[in-house]
Amino acid sequence: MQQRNGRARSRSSGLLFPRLLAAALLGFFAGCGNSAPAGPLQITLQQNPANRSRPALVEVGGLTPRELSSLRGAQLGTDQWQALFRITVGDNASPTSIPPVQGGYQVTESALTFTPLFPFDPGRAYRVAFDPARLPVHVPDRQTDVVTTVVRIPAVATEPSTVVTAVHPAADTWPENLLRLYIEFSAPMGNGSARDFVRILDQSGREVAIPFLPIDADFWNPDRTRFTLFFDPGRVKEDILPNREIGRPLGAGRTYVLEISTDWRDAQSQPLKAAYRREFRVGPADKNPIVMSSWRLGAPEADTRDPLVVTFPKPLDHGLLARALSVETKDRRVVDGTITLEAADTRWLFTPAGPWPGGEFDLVALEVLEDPVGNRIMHPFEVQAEANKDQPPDQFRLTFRIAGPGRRGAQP
Amino acid sequence: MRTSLVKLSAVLVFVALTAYAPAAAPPMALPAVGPSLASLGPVVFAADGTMFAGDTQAATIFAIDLGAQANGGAPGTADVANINQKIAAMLGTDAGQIAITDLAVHPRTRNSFISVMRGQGPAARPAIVRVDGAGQLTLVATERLTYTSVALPNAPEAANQRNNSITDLAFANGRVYVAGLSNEEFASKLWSVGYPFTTADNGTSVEIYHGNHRRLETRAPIYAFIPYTINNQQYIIASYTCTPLVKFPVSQLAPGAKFRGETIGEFGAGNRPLDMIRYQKGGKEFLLMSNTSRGIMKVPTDTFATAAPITSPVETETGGVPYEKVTSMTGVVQLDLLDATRSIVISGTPPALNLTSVALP
Repeated sequence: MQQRNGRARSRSSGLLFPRLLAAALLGFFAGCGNSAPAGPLQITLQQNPANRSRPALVEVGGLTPRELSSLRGAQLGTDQWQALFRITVGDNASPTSIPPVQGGYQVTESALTFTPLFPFDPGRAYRVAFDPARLPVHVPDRQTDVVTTVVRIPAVATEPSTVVTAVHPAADTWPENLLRLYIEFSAPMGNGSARDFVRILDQSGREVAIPFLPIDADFWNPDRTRFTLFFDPGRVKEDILPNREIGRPLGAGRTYVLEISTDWRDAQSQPLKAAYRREFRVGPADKNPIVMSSWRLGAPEADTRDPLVVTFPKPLDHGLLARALSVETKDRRVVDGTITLEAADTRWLFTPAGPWPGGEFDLVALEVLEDPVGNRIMHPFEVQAEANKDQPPDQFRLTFRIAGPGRRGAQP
Repeated sequence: MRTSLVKLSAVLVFVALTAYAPAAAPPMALPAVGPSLASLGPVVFAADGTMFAGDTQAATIFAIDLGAQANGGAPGTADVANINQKIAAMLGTDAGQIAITDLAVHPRTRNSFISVMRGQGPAARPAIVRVDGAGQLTLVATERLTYTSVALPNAPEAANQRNNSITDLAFANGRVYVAGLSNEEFASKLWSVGYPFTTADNGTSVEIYHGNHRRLETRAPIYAFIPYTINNQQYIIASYTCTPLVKFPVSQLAPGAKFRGETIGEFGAGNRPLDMIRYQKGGKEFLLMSNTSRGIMKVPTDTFATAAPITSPVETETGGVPYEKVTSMTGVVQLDLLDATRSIVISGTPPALNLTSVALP
C-alpha cells in the first residue's frame, strides 16, 4: 500500500517479520560510530506466530546507534513519544481527531518499538507514523519526511458457528409467573445484551411487549456460554404498578414462540449460525413452595457407583440444581461426585466419584434452591408478610440409607 | 473476607510504559500479572478521593488510592464529543468493542473517571480513563497504585456457573454499600462493610423484601441506590428490580435481618432508574435520576421525610413522591454530579456517545 499526504511518505508494510534488510543495515552502521550517516527507515509489524501470547509490536528499524542512544537518554514524556512515533486506529491518512493507541515505547539494541496496551485486533488496520524530525539528535542524511504505513494482523478467518444449544426450562409448558430463562450457547458470546435479540411472539405472531427486565446487568456465567434472562419482576409479581398496568408477560392457557435472532454476536464477533425458535405453552402460575418431603429418593446399593436418583414433583431451577443440592456423610463431609439433570429438571442424579459405602447420608439442599418462578423450600416466592418473619435455615437435609449389596436403600 | 494492601501490579499490563516510557530499559519483559481487576463495573469516590471499584468477576470491591493520577490533569471536566470512540481508539479498537460501565467525578479535582471493559466475551479487560478540564483523555496506570480490597461473601466458586454482578455501590459514614444481582437465585441482599477494610469485619448482609398492598412480600433485589440524610438520620434511597423507589433507615439494617423498604414511589412498566445523584438548588435539595426508558426525573427530597409510605395501590407512576421530567436531558447512559451547579453525563445514540456537562435543572 502506498499513499502520500503532505510531507508524509508511506511505505508498504503488513509484514509479519523483521526485515532482513534492516538487520543488515544496522549491522553495517553499528561499526560506524557517531558519524554514521542515516540509512532508510523501516516500519514493520513484529509478530511471533510461535508465541501468540506475546502481543505483536511495531518496530522502527534503520535508526543509527547514535539516534538510538539519544532516545535512551532523552527522557521523553508521553506526548513526545506519541508525536515521534504515533499509532492510530484505522487507515485514515489524517487521523488527527482521534487519540493515538496507548502502549509502551522501548528502545532495544537495534530498534525503537511500540507495544500496544491491549493486543492489536486481528484484521484491524493501524496507521503508524514516525517523524524523524522529532528525534533528539540529527545525523547526516537522515530523512525529515514523516514515514507512515498501515499495519494489520491478518484477520482470523471465522465463519458463524455458535448456536443456541438449550433453553431452560426444558419443559413444554411454562408457568405463567416464570421468573427466568437460561440460554446456553455452544461457544463464548460477546458483549451484546439478550434484550436486543430475544423476543416472544404470541399466538397471532405479535411480539409480547417488554417481557424482560430492562437492565443490562452481567447475567452471563463466567465463560459466557450461558445467559440468564429475567422476566420483568415488576410484571411477574402481583399488584405492583407494571403488573397492574399491563399484566404478566405470559398468560395461562396460551401458546407462544421464543425466538433468538442470529444477530446476537459471539465472542469472535460472528453472528449465530442459526436462529433459535421454540414453541411453548403456558400453564397456571405456580405459587407453591418446594416441599422436600415430596421428593422421591432412589438410593443405589453399597459398593456400586450407581447414581442416587432424586425425583421432584415439579421442575426445579436448572442453574441452581447444579450447585444447591449435594450429598454429605453424617459427619458433614461432602461426597465427591457428578450431577446430571434429566426429565426437564425433574430428576437429579448424583454419581459418586467412588463406590458408595453402606450407611446413612444426607441430601443437602441450600436455602437458595428455587424452582423456575422463585419459590423456595417451605417459602413461596410471594409470601404473606405475616408468615415471613423468621429467617429460614441456610440448608435443609433429607437422610437416606445406602444398603448392602442386593438391598436397595431408601429414605429411612 | 480477605483484605490486602499491596501494590496494584499489572492490572493493566503495559500501561505504565505508556505514561513513563523507559527509554533506556532492556528489551521489554512483560511485568508479571499480580493482583488484578478481572473486570470493572461501578466506581464511586469517597470524599477523600479514594476510588471504590466493583469487580464482578473477582467478586471483590477495591479501594484504590489514585495518588498523583487524581491530579495529573487540568481541574474540572471539559466536554468531549464521541467519547466512546476516543476511548476505543486509545485502547486500539472501535467503539463496538468497548463497554462503558460507569462514570464518577473525583471530589477534589473534578476530573471524570470512566470505567471501561475492552474486548468481547471472556477476553474483555478493564481500563480506567481520566478526562480533565482541558478535555484530555489519560489512561490511569493502575499498576502503580496502592489499594485495599475485600471479597464479597459467597463469592462464586470456580466450578459453578454463578455470577453475582455488582450493580451499584456507595460509600457513606465509613461504610461501603454494595447491591448486586445473581444470575441464578433471585437474591436480594444489600451488603455493607466498614472501611478501611479489616480482616475482622465480614460485613453485614441484609435480605431485602418488597411488600405490596395485599400483604404479599417478595424478595426484591436493589439495582441502584444512593445514601441520603433526612433530619440527621442516614437513609438509603433505592430502586428495586421490580421498580418501586424505596427508603431504608440505615440504623435499622441489622445483620441477618429481613428488611422491607418503605415505598415512596412507583414507576410504570419497562423502566428502571440507572443512576441517582443529589444536589442543592435554590435552597432546596433534589434527587436526579436517569432511567432506562423514561429520561431524567427530578425529585424534590423535602417530601421524603414526611411522605407517607404508599399503602394503597397507585394506578399511575405519579402516585408516589412528586417529580418532574427533565426533557432537556435525553439518551443519558451515565450520570454523576460534576460540581455545585452542573451534572456530567454520557449520552447520545450509539455509535456516538458524548461526555457533556449539563446545568442542574
